[in-house]
Amino acid sequence: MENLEINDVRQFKKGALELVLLCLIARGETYGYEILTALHQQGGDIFGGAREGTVYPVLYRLEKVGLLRCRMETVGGRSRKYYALTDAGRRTLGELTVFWRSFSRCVEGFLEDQKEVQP
Amino acid sequence: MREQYLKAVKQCLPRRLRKQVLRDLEEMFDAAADHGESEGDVIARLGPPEAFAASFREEAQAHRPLLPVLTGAAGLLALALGLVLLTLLPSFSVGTIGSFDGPTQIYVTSGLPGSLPWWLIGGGVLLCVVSLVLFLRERRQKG
Repeated sequence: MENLEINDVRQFKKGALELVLLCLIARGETYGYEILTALHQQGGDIFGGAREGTVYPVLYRLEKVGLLRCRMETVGGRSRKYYALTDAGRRTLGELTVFWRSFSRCVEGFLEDQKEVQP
Repeated sequence: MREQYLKAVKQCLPRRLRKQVLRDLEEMFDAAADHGESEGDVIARLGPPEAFAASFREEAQAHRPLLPVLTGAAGLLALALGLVLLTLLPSFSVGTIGSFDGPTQIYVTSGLPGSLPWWLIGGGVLLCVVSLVLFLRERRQKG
């Protein structure tokens, strides 16, 4: 896997993580720790670990471009930031889903060919 | 331990990111503690403070507010130029011939109408205001 730490793969992971986070938050309003736990449970460690330092910067960006919105709530005397999808976020998630499907179908097709050539 | 970590992260962050990141960092520690994680566990996962801060810096750098900075710079430049011309122009109109280079004097007196410095100052102030509005809007969007 060390060979994969080239810039392209980093960009690749970043883009995929945005999509994954949108999916996760689309399930319902959620907060940081819950997002990390869900990510970890579904094998999200591949994105450079289901870690705060990986997830939060992406959350900030998604919020900044208007795909997420946040709401503060006090739970047990502590303030907690809840994230939800905006309408634009929901629309973008739909578009990204369609794109990802055709994208992975295409790549998958090439990988299948490759398998036949080199068993 | 936690306070030390927060302090170290703060020092590695640019001013505009501090408030948000430190608030969220507090929440990260609180939430982890609620789920039975020790401060040591959290710090181990977050990694060294410099690296943690760097992941936010990289992200913010990719989206630096370029437009407000550019308009602000242009505004200040116009303002400065206007003020410089304003202080220079009277000395020309008084006609202190001989104390300046001939070509410079002719260029300035014939090329620039007297109202130009005021236009530059006015435009400069306007650009600065636009820049400030853009900057404040950007900040509000960030929350």
